[in-house]
Amino acid sequence: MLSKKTLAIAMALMLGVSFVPPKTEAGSTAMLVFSDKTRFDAAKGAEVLSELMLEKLVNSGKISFKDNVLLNSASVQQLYGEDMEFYKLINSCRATGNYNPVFESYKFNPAYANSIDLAKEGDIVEPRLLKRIGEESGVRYVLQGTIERYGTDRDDSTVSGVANAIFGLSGLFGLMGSVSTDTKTLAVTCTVRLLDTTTGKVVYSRRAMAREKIADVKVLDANVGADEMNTKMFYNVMDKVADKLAGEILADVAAHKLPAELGK
Amino acid sequence: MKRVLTILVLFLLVPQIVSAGALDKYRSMLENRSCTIKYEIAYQDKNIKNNDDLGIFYQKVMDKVEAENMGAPKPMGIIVLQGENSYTQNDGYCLLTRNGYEYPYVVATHKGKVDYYGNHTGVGASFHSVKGAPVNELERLMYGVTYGDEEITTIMRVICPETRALNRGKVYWRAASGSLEGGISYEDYQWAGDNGDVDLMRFYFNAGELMKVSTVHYEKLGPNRVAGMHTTIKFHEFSSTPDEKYLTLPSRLKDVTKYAK
Repeated sequence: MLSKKTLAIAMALMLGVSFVPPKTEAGSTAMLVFSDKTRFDAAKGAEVLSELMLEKLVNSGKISFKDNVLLNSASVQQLYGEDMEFYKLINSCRATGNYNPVFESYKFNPAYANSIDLAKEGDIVEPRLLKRIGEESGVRYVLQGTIERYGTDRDDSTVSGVANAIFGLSGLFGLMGSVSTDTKTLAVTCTVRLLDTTTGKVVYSRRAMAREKIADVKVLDANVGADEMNTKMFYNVMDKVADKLAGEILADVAAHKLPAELGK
Repeated sequence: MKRVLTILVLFLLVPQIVSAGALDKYRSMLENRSCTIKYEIAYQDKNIKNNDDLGIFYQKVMDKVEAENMGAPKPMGIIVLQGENSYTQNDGYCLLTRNGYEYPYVVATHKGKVDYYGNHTGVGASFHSVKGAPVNELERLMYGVTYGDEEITTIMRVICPETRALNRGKVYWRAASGSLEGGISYEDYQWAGDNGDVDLMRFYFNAGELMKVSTVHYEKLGPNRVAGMHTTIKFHEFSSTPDEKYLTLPSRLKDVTKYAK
């Protein structure tokens, strides 16, 4: 006959084993390190932007992340290297002479996105891999972003010419010589997506572009400002686009446009 | 024993011979330059985008055009060949070749209304005037016949290989054939480059009629880095009768060509 104490311990142990918290409770979201599909991926803009985004969203206290670190596992890298996986499949088919795995695959199904970087809201992205990422990290939703484009602009103007024409200040500027400005702009366009790891579906997507300017002012032979794009400018534009995207996500969480599990 | 072997060999060869002929009638239409082809790009994606270091103004224009065209059906592609005369229409860009002259123009739909825009620009020029130019025979000799954009030209050249041009481009070879569920049969073609680039093409036939073609193009960018493109083109018509209505300039366009006397 078991004592009451033994029974209580056994019950507690059994309950402890059977009570596994559901994965979709608070902390059901993770952020993947972003991807950069441009020629400038070596500049590590994707890493900088995803860290800034995570920091802003965590600091807002409005999003419930499981861990406050970026996911960059082998499965995540495989998700970003989807083309390479398909390329391997093509070569294995060439070896066997059976091309059905290539042509009768989801790659030609319009419901599926060709790659995560091109996925639009409603598209399905590699369900098998996303399910694995969800299981490995214990989350239902993952936030992901892609740097789509970098853009530049340049504007030269000579102040003396404009001043002479409008204000007739030729005497003043005649003494000083010409004053010229050279403005350079760097823009970054990024899309963020929220993916449901149980289905691979993109349930939410937002796109933003931000820009940062630097100006080099030349008076006589002296330069004020910077005349080349620099690291600070790069960081600032990333910060601006992260601000825009985080702002939109937080506004949409407040407006209940995102799954309820995301909010705190 | 020999008879059994012969029967066995014939039995194995017959499906190959039959499927080898599936593209033959389409090949002869292109060779004889007598056909009307109407197709639709049912699915296309591309992982390499023109996304590097673009001007910000151009980016905005591109975004606007992309947003306006989102979800809109792509215009039908058309190829009409009638001897030396031809007409190709691809993504709204049209090229009429008639009596030794080429006339490029654009067809666009605005608020449900089809309109045509010519190539004649300059002071006082109308948007609806076209200035033709003599066919560039040297270019044709160098690069062969084109049928619209690069993708449809590649497909047509798999059906009817370019043999006269000095630069024939990629040469595909037949890789496989077979059948799928629902009586659909297919023929696969492939091309592979020395650097690891690879292209595949699958032609689908329903009761011997070409219904669609799916293509994959993979470009090797470096170690463990590739970029792929996948396309499906559906054929709405592939007949041997040239549709002559496409072989004259639309009445909306004014011909301002200065013809040689």
